[in-house]
Amino acid sequence: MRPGPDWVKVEALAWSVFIGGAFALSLDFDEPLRHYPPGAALWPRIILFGMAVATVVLLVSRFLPQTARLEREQGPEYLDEAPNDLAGVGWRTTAVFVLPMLWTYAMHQLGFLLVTPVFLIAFTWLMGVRSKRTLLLFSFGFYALLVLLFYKLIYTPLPMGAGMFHTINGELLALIQ
Amino acid sequence: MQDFINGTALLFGDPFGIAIFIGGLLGGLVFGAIPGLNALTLAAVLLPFTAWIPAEYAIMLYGVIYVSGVYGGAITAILFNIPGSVENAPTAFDGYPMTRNGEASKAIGYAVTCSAIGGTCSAILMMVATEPVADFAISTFGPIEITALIFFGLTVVAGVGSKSLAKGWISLGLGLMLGAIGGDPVAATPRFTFGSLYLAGGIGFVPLILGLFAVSEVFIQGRRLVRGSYTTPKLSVSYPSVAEFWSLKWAIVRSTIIGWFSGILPGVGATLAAFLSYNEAVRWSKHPERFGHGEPEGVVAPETANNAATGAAMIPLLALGLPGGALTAMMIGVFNLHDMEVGPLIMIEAPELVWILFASMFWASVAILLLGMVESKCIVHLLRIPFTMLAPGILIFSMIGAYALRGNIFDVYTMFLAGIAGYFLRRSDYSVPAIVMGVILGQIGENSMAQALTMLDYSFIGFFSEPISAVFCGAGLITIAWGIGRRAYKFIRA
Repeated sequence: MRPGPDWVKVEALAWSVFIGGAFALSLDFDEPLRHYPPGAALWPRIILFGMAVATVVLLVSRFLPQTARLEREQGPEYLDEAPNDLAGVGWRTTAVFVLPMLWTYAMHQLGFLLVTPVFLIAFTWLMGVRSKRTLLLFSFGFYALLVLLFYKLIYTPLPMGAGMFHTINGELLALIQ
Repeated sequence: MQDFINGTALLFGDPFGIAIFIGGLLGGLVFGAIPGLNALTLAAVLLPFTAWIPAEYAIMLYGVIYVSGVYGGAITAILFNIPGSVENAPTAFDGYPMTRNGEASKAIGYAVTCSAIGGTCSAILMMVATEPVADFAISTFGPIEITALIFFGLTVVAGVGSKSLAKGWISLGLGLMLGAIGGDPVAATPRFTFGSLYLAGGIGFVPLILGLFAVSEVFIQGRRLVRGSYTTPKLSVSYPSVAEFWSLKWAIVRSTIIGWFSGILPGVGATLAAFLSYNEAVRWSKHPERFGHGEPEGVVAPETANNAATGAAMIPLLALGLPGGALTAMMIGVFNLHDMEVGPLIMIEAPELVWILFASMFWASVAILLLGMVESKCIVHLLRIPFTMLAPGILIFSMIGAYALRGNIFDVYTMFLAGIAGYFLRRSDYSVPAIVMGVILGQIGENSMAQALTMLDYSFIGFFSEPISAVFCGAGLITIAWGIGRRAYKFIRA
């Protein structure tokens, strides 16, 4: 499935915004330094120049008829689905991306020990495991293994939560250790 | 030879020595394989305890941890796309695609054998050439040469992992820009930090690598699973044949040399060795388009080089007292704890200590081969675990790896954001290997470039006035021209 030239325009536009934005930000630190007159902006600007050239080449080459012929010979540039193919993006697909971020936020607030079993059950269910027995056995078995490995054997510091949850996690940790 | 035999006798003549050797070997393998908890973590934890064990065993322990830790991270890189340490990241570029193609066992076989070959050759070279090579390398390679070497390396990176040269260059640029976030190397002027203290320290390698490799892989396979298009990797248990190794002989020799010389240079070490060696494998290959899709040479090159760098890193340490990286710097700490000073006199003042270290690193490489041959037959069975259960496991291990290093929750957010970005970039044929190499080589490169420009009176032409630097710069320019020319030729023919 070959994405149309419009998608390449979107990519080129995104890179142009990135390059323009980064160049504008580099104006904040483009004064010469006392021991290094080229200044802190030299290196990023060399890179941005290279990226700008590559973006122009990307855009121009996409509209050449040879690109289509080469793709027919060598296979599509894109993976099994085109990047602009949003068909079938249901709530489960969205949840695959969102759940880990929610877990991270909850872990910061409530602590690793309290939140991880819930995440394990939810993500495993999301991946398609429906048997309650398998879900619980796997989630709590794996959780026990994590606690044993990271809290009992190698004493890894993991998020303890905030406020009263910090105290609760501390008590739990004292029980475990 | 007599010294080596004496060192070996000292190592295996005492049950305590054997116990420390085995403990270091297994510890390095385990810690190397857990993301975020690399061999360096183990070495740091053990440092205070080394004061209570004899100096020769303490130093030996660190040598063994170094060798086995560098290898350990290759296993998770190959099986789950989770590099245990930064120096194992290029192993994932082709190791994981080999797993997806049903060749996990072969990939581990290549990794273990080549790690052992690289480590053994390096240990032998270390025994015969410590002093003259250290003098040559350290007097010849300064910031100008290192900058040119990195420029040469970057020119190949753009061709790795993407069918489009333009997208390869954009990916590399993105990696270099991510590496530029934080303080500049001269005056620590904040760049692209938006006033954030977290960004002022720069984006950590480990969260970025875990996000771009492991998390984005979970997202890609997770989406396929949800949509019903997921395919389980095939499982095969086969070790590479002698003929297959023989066909890669030049790659192994080349990577050993690259790894060894990189190891000698202070501050360069195993990470750059692995990346440069991968680049050279692409450059010299007759089929560079196969890299990133499960090419065995893509596993052989970095694994040979990163282990070859371990023995070489001992040369500046012992001959000149210059540590090449964090672990060798800790070894200086071990020497100090025993009231000893490293430098040229160590070979005369404490030869038994030096030779037990050499012998232990040699035998650790041999032990890796034996352990790894067993491991390649057993550990691939981890792939039998259904992806439905593997996915949350990968996310949790990655999260722990990202968090444990600095105890900062923003590293976990960075990892997941890198995972989402990696998902979209990979789907659009941008090159994740080029991004990662850009971040790593860029940070070393900018530092060297700033020093080199100061030495050259801020003239880029000056890079062509030094012979070694001129050769690397010229080779880099030829590589760029070659890449463009090859692409243009294909266009004209199409």
